[in-house]
Amino acid sequence: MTKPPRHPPAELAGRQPAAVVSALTVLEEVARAGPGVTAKEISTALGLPPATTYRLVNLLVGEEYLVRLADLRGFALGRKVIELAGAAAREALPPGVPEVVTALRTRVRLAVHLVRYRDGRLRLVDPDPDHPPSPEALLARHLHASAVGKLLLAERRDLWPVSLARLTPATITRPDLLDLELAGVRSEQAARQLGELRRDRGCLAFPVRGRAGDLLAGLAVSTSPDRVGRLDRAVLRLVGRCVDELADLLALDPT
Amino acid sequence: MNGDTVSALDDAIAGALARPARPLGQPSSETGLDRRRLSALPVAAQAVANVAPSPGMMAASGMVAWLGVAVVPVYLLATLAMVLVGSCVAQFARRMAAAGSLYTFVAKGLSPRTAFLTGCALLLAYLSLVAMCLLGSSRRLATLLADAGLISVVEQERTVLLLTMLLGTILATCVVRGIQISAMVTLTLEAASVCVVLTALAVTAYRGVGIADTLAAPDLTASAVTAALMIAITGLVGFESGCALSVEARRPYAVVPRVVFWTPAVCGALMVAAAGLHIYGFSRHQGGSAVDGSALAGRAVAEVTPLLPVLLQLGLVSSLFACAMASANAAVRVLFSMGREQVTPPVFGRTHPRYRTPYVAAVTVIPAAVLTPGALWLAGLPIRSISNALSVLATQGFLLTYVLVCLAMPVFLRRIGEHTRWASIAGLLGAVLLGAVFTGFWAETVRDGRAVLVAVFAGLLVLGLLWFGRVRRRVPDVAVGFFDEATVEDILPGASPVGRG
Repeated sequence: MTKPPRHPPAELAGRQPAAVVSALTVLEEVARAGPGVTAKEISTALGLPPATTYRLVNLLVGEEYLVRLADLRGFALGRKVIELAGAAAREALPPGVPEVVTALRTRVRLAVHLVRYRDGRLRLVDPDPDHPPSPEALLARHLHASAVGKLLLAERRDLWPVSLARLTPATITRPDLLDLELAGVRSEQAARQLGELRRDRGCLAFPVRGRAGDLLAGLAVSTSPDRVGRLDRAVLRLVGRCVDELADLLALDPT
Repeated sequence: MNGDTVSALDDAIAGALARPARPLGQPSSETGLDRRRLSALPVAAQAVANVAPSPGMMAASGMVAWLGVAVVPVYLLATLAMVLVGSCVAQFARRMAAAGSLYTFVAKGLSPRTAFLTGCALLLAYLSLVAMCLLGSSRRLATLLADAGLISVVEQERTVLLLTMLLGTILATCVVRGIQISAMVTLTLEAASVCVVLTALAVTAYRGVGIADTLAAPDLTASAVTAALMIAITGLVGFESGCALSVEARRPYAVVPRVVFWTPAVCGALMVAAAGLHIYGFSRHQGGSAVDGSALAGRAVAEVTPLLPVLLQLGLVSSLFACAMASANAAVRVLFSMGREQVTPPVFGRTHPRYRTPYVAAVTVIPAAVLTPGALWLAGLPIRSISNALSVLATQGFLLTYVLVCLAMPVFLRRIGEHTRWASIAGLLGAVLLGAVFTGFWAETVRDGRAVLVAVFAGLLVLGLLWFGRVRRRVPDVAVGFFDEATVEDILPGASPVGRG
């Protein structure tokens, strides 16, 4: 484990940029010391003046990065800390999932990507290392242009993008056509994208559902747009089996 | 943060992501309320509405006629005093979310008995305010109806009482139907009222109104200034009621302290602005006679357009109704907390399964607040003196509560090991200042020949203490000070002190 920085910025007023560093140091200290650590202990451990420490912990409690425990003295990390990790945090995958996806990669000569959906957000949790997909931020921003995005949009009308940006000539930018497309996704339980995100890439994505039919993840295979429509039946059967296995593995994982 | 080494924070995050999201935890002791749903604006509206700046802004005209320009520093001083109390309350609100607001806060600093005393004073203040504001609202409505020739003047008093019942029913319905609804109603009515009053004051100021010679000879004796300061301070009470919604507010530890700190500041600024407009109006006026300030403003408004006084009255009606609503919301939550702690019958702690409000408390105390003035009227008291009595009771309740919460704050901070010198000074200063105002208010009330109201206030509190003594005899270790504790849901998975691993 790491030690807290020995020289916390002196004379924090709470308004200076240095206060941000201090705030993060406080979070770090709470993580190190464990739940129940008091403000006074944090102040001593970091060598911060008590009044500054109290202000910082209360600020962090206000923003819900810290939680004041029921005894009102002790602190613990708040659930919101996860957001600090942001998109950079690689989701920990339940055991077995990476193996199943890797196995599919070796058997089909296609790029295979796994995305997960949580709280209406798309996370690229297992991108194909040999054929990197479009960046996650791009996928998340233009849900209408990717196959994995369409899977999510078909379930969550409320996530409809503010504007249907035209990324390539093939991108669907008319709301009525997109509605039609999403109806297709719902009835076929599969979404496709033919050069709509990048001219040279097409994609076919299948939903991985939990026991209650909720959308947990999407498994996408990607190749050139003209090949996406002519995939081998045997390949599709392999992909379908992988989706079933993933559904079993992910359903066990309550996250 | 620290180069290549994995930091404790990274570790905690990785651990959290690998963990089941929602293990079952202990529910909060204030569960049943609509937790963490209300945005910041309705919480602010609750606090501002409880202060009800609009009637005070109109009354500023009387203060100007009395003190002249000196009214501005008086308002500023009063605002400073209330901001000081607000900062003491904010120290609690930053650290805990409690529907019982100041009652619970005092419980965390002082003894359970003192806490219960605070709770009784607070309940008395809120409920008196509910009754007084509903009466005031109805009285203005009845006057409008009488002016329109819809009712005869003879019937007016009876109409006021009928309207009070009607408004009380609407109020109770809103309070029970959910905090979202009642908070939105409060917000809309209060915002509309402040806009109307500011517009009316600006228009009359522009037209020039008032008594040209008042500004020349203001009464600036020490006793007059002290009395004015007290009036100004009592005009700013009620800002703490934002705390009552802290369980229901989103991000309460950030929002509620800001609300209790800024509400007295903003309301004080509104008073100063109103006083400024009155002064400007007076100074522009040519000729005229000394009359009661608000009547004067009303008359001047009527000169501009006949519609404006009606709008103004409606503005005051809505402000008073919003104030009643805010007070009722706060009162039922104090009683709800007491019910949960079982220091009052536990049935008060019951929440509505669908609307998620303390409905039993609401359907008990709101009718009580509405029917008491009715009973007093039947006993032969005129409505105006009932209103005045309620106002005196409410002010006593608020002032006593503020003294106690200022005293409790440094003790509380010491208990949790977060005391600072400045916090202790602020608490002590607040307690001394408000204690002086409270004593001054009592002295003034006795001097006015209304010692009976002091006795009623003290008597009701003694009854409360007797009740608490009885509860204690039955359950010696009865606990007070329930608040909305952090649940496992709020804590990063794996970072909870219980059930780690």
